[in-house]
Order: sequence, then structure tokens, then C-alpha cells
Amino acid sequence: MRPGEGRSGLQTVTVVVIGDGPEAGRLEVGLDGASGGVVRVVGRADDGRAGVELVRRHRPDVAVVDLVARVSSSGAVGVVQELRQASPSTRLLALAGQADADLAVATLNAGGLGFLVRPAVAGDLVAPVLTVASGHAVLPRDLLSVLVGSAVPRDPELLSGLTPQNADLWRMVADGLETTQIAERLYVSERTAKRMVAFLLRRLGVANRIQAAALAGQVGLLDDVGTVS
Amino acid sequence: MNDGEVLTVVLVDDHQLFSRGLELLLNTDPDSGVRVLARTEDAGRALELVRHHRPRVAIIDLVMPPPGGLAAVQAVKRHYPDVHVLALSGNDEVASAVEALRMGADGFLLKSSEPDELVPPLIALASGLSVVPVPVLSALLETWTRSGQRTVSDLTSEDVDLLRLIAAGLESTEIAERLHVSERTAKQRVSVLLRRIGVSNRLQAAALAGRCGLLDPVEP
Repeated sequence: MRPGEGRSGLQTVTVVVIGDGPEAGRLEVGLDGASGGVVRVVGRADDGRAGVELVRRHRPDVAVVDLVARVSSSGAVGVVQELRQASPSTRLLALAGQADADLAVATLNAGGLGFLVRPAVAGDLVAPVLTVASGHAVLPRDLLSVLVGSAVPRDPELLSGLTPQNADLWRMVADGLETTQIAERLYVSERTAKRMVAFLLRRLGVANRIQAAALAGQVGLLDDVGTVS
Repeated sequence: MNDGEVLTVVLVDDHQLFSRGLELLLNTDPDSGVRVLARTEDAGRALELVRHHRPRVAIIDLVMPPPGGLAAVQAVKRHYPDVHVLALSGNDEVASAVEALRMGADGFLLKSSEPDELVPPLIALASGLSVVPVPVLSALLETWTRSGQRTVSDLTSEDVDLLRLIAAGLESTEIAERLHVSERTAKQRVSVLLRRIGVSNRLQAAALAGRCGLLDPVEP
């Protein structure tokens, strides 16, 4: 093995553990032991402030943050944000007592890359740590279902038949813009704007603007997504 | 990583070079802890392969000739919900990743990931976790936030009914009639509801209702 490499020639992943009490201690020992040298814990902190210092000093590949009360006295989101600032290249894996969707979303929105229910065995953390280290997000399956459940199936047929201009116009209608506001945005007269909206409604096969708005929500017009890489 | 138990996998991918390479890599490295039991290039045979081998994980490429990867994901998850499905694609469209997750895939990775980077996600997947690239996570988080799903799930059934009436385009007088209240009360209830769901007008309320699946499905 060359320096900086663990078993299988994989790069050693450096980790800082931030957590309170014996649990975090077990985590520290367990992670080192279970990974066969692929994961190396370079430090542990008992609370959020010390954790931020440690992460700033070591710039580890991954910080495992247990969102227990003492660690996140400034709130889970606060700790994650401070850690992000202290070392932007460090990937953050948050642990919590349960798969709380709101806490998970807040943590991930704040810049966390993983959110897990604290596992009983530290060895179960090795794969998630390596997964976030390679830049992928990890979360409990149930939580993913909740997030995916909020994504609306797009209606490709209806959407692909529209010009980008018509799609924009539809979004404005769905946002509740008045004819005068639409006219201003499109640099056309109010009369033209009115005619364009009427044309759009006919095209969509709906009777009025409110139905157009409801339909926009239903077909996923309001959920624009781009590319992965 | 290898706690003695071998993680069994089947590969469904028409791109032979990729799937053979992956099989070779996983099966010849004793430390990977992963073993590929079988491969197929035919999306239509995915279910058969899973039925026969009962792997822990099925890796399914999304971009394959008909019936296609999505159909394979759906078929495997419908018949074997306990088999973890990892969808792969060389195509970086977030929408197709989200579609695969909706069809039941437990995770999604780009094919451009290094083959040995696949092992930790596979283990994570087999332990009941989901793995996705960051842009997919971001898209899901944004959708979640925008959908107001939480707001709507907190509503009483009366509020949901009222939201449906608004989305159907009913005027205050009509809503008042339906609810057997005065027009003034109807107007008040509407404005309270709009505030509660965090929108500023009835059109946005209608869009949100459609967005959250409160309305009848769109007719084909």
C-alpha cells in the first residue's frame, strides 16, 4: 500500500466525527476498525464549535455530524452552514435519531450531502461515508420516496407541443399575472396580450385562467429540472 | 466493508463493454464484497433474471432498446420490492433520473462514475439507503420546497375541499352557495386559506392544488 491509500488501492478517506458522548466515541473507533483502513478518523469534537475548529484545521474529506442537542445548539442548519464555510471541500454526513423529513430537508438544503438515521453499528457508516466522499448524496430510502412523491409526472405530450413563448406565457398566467402585467413583460399591447392568453387557453382546452393554472401545476410545468452533471 | 456476507448483484445493460467490465472488476476483486451473478443485455429479461437469481441488488441501465430500462425498473420493483434497484444512465438528464426514482428505483448513478466508486453506493443501497448525484438531490429538494407538499398535508379536509373549489374556478358567490355561508364569510375563508398555503392569489392556489395532486388527473 502506498501512503494515502488503504486496501484495494482506494484513497484513504479522512473523517472528523462531531458528536456527543460515548456514542460518538464508539463511532470513531468503529469507523476506523470496520473500514479496513479505507477510512481514517483524524479527529473528534464534542460540540459544534469545536467541530468547526477541527474541520477548519484538518480539512477532512468527510465530517460526520451527529445532530444531537449539544452539537447543534445553534440548530442543525447553523452547524451545517458553519462547517460548510470552515471547509467548503469537506462533505457533510448528518446523523439524526429519526428520519424526520423536515430536519433532513433543512440539513440538505444547508449544504449537507448525506442524512442518515444514526446506525446501531458504526461499521454501517463506512459505505455511506465513502459514498458521500465520492460526491454522491445519501439518504434513507423512505425519505427519498417522500421527496420523489412530491415530484409531479410531467406530461411530455402537452409540454412538448408548446413553444417556449407559450410555456412562459402559461407560467405567467399560473402565477396570477394580470393582462397588463403580461403585456408589460412581453412588450406588447394589452390587447395583444389578451389575445395571446385567449389563444393559449384554447390551445390547452381550458375555459379560463384558473383552470390553466391548475393544469400547469398538474402537468409539471412549474417543475423545471436540468441536467445531472 | 466486507462483513463476510457477499452482496449479490445482477446487471441489466445493453452496453456489453461496460457491464462486462463491471462484472470483471467486481468479481475478481476479493475485497469488493460484491458478486455479479448474471448479466443480460435485454431489458425485457430483467424480471426473469431477478426471479431466477434473487440478487440483493439489480443494476439497470435506463437507456436501452424497448421495452427499455424504465420498464425494467418498474417490473422488478413491482414483483420484487425487496430487491434494491440501482438505475444507471450515461444520460445526465435530471428528469430521467427522477422518473426512474418514481418508478421505484432506490438509487441513481451516472455511468461516468468510476467503476470502483460503485461499490460503496451498492453497499449503502443494500442496507436500505438511497444514493443519488447531487444535482438530482437538489432538484428533488427544490421540487419539495416548491410543491408546498408540507403545507397541503397540514390542511384540514374542509380546507382541501375549499382549495378544490378555488381551483375549479368558482367565484366567491358560488363558493358561498356551496358552503351555505354568506359571501363575506366565503371571501374571508378563501383569504385565510391563501395565506395559510403561502400564495398571493387564487391562480397560484389553483396551480398549487394541481401541483400537489389534489385535482382529478389530466385527461389524455
